[in-house]
Amino acid sequence: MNHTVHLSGEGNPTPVSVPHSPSPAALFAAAKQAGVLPTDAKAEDTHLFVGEEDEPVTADRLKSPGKDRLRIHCHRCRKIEVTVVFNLKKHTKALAPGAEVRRVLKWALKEFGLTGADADNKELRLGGAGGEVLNEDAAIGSYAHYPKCEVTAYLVDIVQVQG
Amino acid sequence: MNPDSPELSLFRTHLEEAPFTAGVDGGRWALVQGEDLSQWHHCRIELRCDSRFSAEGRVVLRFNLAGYSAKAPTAQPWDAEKNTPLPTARWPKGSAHLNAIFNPNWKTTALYMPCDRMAMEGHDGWKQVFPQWWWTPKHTITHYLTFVSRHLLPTGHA
Repeated sequence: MNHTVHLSGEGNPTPVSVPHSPSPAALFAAAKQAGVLPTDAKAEDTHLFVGEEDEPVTADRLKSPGKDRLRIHCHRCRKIEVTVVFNLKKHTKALAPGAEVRRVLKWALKEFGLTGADADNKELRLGGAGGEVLNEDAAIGSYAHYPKCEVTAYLVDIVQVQG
Repeated sequence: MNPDSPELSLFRTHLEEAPFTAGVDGGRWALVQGEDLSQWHHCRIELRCDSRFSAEGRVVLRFNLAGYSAKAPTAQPWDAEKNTPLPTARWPKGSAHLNAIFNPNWKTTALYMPCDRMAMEGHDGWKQVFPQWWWTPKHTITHYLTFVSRHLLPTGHA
């Protein structure tokens, strides 16, 4: 069976598809070629994460992908310090770069005690209420720019369609 | 067999790409079973829905993808079994956001949102209010699905 790898990386929240390779070195090369890692990134400095796993991938793990679609996040940061701001209060958590924004949002809603309709209408944005909406499917590492291994997001109300 | 049109070929490509498959793998959306795109430029996609908003737990959208992706998609709720428009009584409803998007009092043939071709007409102001969501040719079907899905299946409750 042919396997496809969906690669995401630094500063690029839109993943790209490449043929699967069981070799971390080959995946690293594919990531640079696909533009999800900068051209000056070094293999020895780069971590590969499968899905939302907390630990970087090993060569053995790649040999047995288990699914016909493998999601791999490539990053020079080992952890991303994620801070979410809401109503002038902050909570911070260290996450693997492959953790999805959706997971960050769930965590933030819980930390700020938001439930029901209050939780339903929230989204995460960079820079404030008018900033870029974070894609919930994206890896949080996609919004971090090495060597700054951190992301600050604002928990804001989703603007309702009207007019 | 006639070759795919450029629009259909592009659409097929987008269905294979990571953003669309992420939603499939996450259980948020999928092509309706048996959808083979033989009725292009129509296509049916089902989206999972919080049971608070729809007892059926899903809604099927029948897309009109004429001019894709230069032109924005438009979609209407659909009864996939009967192959007819979904009766409005079965439309998802419950949150203020969802009720604004699935608004049969506005139209029964489109969704009221900044990436629906029919809703965009006459709402140029949405370019400033929803700059990230306003449809452009660089967007893919996943863009439309993501906008709808986050209201059908809010992360806070999932």
